[in-house]
Amino acid sequence: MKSRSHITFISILLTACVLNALAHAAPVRRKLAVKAGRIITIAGKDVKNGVILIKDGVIKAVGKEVEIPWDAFVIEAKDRVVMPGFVLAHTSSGLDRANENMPEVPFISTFDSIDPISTFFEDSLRDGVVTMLVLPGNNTLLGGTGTIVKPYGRTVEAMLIKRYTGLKISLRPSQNTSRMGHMQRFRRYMSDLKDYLEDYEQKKADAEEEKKPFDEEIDVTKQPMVDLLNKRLTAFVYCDRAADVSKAIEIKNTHKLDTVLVLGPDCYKAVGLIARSKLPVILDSQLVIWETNEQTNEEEMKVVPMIFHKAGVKFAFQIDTSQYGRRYLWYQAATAVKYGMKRQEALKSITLYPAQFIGVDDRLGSIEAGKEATLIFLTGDPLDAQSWVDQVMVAGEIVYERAKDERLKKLLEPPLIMQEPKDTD
Amino acid sequence: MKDIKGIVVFASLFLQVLSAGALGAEQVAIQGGTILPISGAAIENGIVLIENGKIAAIGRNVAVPMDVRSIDASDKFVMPGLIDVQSRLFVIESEFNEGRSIAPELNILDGLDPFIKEAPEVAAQGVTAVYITPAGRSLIGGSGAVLKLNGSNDVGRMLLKGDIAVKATIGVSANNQSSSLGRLAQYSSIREALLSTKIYMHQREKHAREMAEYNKKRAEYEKKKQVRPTEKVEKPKRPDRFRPNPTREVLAKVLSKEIPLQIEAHRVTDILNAIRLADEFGFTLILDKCTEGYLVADEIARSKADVVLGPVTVSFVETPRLEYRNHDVRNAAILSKRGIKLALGVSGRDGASSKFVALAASIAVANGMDKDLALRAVTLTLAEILGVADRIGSLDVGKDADIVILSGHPLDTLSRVEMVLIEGKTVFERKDKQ
Repeated sequence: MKSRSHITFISILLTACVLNALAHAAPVRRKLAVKAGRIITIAGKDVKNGVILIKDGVIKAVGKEVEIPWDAFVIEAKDRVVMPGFVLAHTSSGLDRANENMPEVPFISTFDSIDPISTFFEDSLRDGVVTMLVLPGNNTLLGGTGTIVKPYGRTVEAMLIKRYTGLKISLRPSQNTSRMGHMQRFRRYMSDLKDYLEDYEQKKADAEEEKKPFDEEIDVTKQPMVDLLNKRLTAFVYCDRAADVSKAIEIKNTHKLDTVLVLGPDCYKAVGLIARSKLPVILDSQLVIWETNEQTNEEEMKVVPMIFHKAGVKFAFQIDTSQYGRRYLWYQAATAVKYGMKRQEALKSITLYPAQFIGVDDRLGSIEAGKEATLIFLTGDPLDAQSWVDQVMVAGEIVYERAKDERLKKLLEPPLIMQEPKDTD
Repeated sequence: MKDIKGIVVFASLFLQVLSAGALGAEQVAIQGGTILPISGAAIENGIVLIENGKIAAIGRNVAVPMDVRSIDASDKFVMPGLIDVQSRLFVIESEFNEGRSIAPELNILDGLDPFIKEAPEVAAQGVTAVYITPAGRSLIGGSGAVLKLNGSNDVGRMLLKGDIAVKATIGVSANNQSSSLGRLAQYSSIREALLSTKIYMHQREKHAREMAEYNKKRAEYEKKKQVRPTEKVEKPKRPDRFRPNPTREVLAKVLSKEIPLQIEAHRVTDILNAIRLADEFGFTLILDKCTEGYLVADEIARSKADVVLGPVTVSFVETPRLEYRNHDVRNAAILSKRGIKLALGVSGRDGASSKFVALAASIAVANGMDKDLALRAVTLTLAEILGVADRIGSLDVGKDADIVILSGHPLDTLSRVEMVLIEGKTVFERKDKQ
């Protein structure tokens, strides 16, 4: 009897020790409940004083009347606005170099060029941009494939969400070529590729006929373009001017490609063509354009997102890190709302729509049961310049806290006052 | 019940109004005035009936249906839309300078910006179509296209016909300096390209023959195998693949006379060299610019080449270039008197210059060209040279209703354009009528 109670006591002690150890070993809490003052779900209506239930980094339930399990760790965010992390569908920042010198390099990947310690990623996290597709720049005809990353991690592997997503095709001619020559170069590449594939199929058929093994693989430098034709990759086609839009649509129709249009500022003129094509669109970072009407000599304001919104085009915003006013994704959405865009649509254009365009909307872009718990905690409304991102959660794990943002602290510190050296005499 | 009746009556009325509206939009009658059909003699007090954008009837006694849209053109002149055969409208400025090269596979349609602002300004001067070619900075620079100024922003909708002709250039210097050796080099480069195309065509034919032979042998082989599967029969060897070369394919079309070669040549030697090339290779030649053509009019007449002449006056040109050294305003008159098929172009410094088509024709007339021939040179003859005369160029039944209504004769510089129609649709109407 006595020994038995001993054993029970020891076993309880052991269990407690193991549990304790487990709790310390796993920084990610299995069950979380976020009690938020306001939840902007994007998928539906906003929820006031609601709860987001998270298990293993995945959202289990959202709503006002969600029962919190006894073993869930509760995150109190009564004075916070919680919404899905912003998604950037197109950027060439954070790369060692955005463009190659060669015009046709479909085989290169931004995965090899992403610089994890670039301040771009740090700033993105601070601004609530939690998912981004990094694509090659707009200077090369066939610029290579993109990489979807989160701005968090010391290596590209740690940041990685999805490799080999999207292929950049730029219709802006590179130096020394005209638009005619540029398009011809593209057509020539495609006809050469078609020839190559026909040859390849012929060889395969010949080998089959003679019952010989066939182990020749598709040329690795051509593979991404073959995948583009097989719709395993989406073409991100950059249109520099409105005139390029019809070429992008021609390419899409000729080769039956999955296409996203990446637009230059001038492209709003082709809005009718774009609306008819029903293609997803990524707007240029310049949202308001002033133009002189040559007949009346008056300045006319063109609000690009409103032009596309009225035409029923689905679009995503992008940012330009070199322009102060266009550095923030939320500010892009706020600008559109200022000029009359529906708030819900503007918010979708920085969350759900870009997630759809880059093919991650099955797990990101809105707060819904089944999606990843990648959330941002804001101190106020996302479109208000006075609110800031207080915390960022990626798949149930808090990866950013403003209170612990060392660089921000340094920036916000009062400047050092230089003291004049005292006379020693 | 009463309500339903009311709805039915209302709906039928509504439908009637709708159909009448639709019909009205499709049928237009231009009545009165002097009609210049270009293809024939002028018709006084005539009627042009337009149906579905085409000319349905033309003449003095045309039965006009009741519910058509009527345009009163009494005391006015009615003629087919003008065409600029040497236009730079829609051309993106940066594409103006194409590198020196043999690149006939280029297509002007890839280098156009349909969103430019000048197009309505040009259409308002009665110009309904423009022919645009790649610039004359490359030796063989790609094919040109005819576009309508119908106000669309979609090149596909503006396009009347592409691949009109392949543009080439002899003797135009980039740096405005003449060099005999440089001109010879240009001429021989074009000749070399044409020669290697000849070889290419020969190889292509040879390959086609070999493939046909192989297919025959292969069929025999399959048959033998089927009949006696055990017997060892030697399998025929497939000839190597023939790789089509886009550059050569386009020039092959030129050599087989499917597309003309439009050679820009200004000076006598260059014009003669162009004719020499046409004689040697037997392609259809369109002589472009042809500045010193009047000095070798007989040779041009003998060659049967068509001429796209312009600028009529050097004041249309940006800077007095070397090529225009011996320019003469009587050029068009002298060439047309030799019976040469001649079109007049503006060849202006920028896109908006295309609006001066009527002025170019007037200046040619002022310097001795026949009035009718000058009008034809900016409409029907031009359309014939470009191979689009089945659609535009004259007022004939079945052609596109691209029509200009003017206050006076088109060659009178005081005449004002009152209205411009393209395929029956009004693209310009003068607002400030007294």
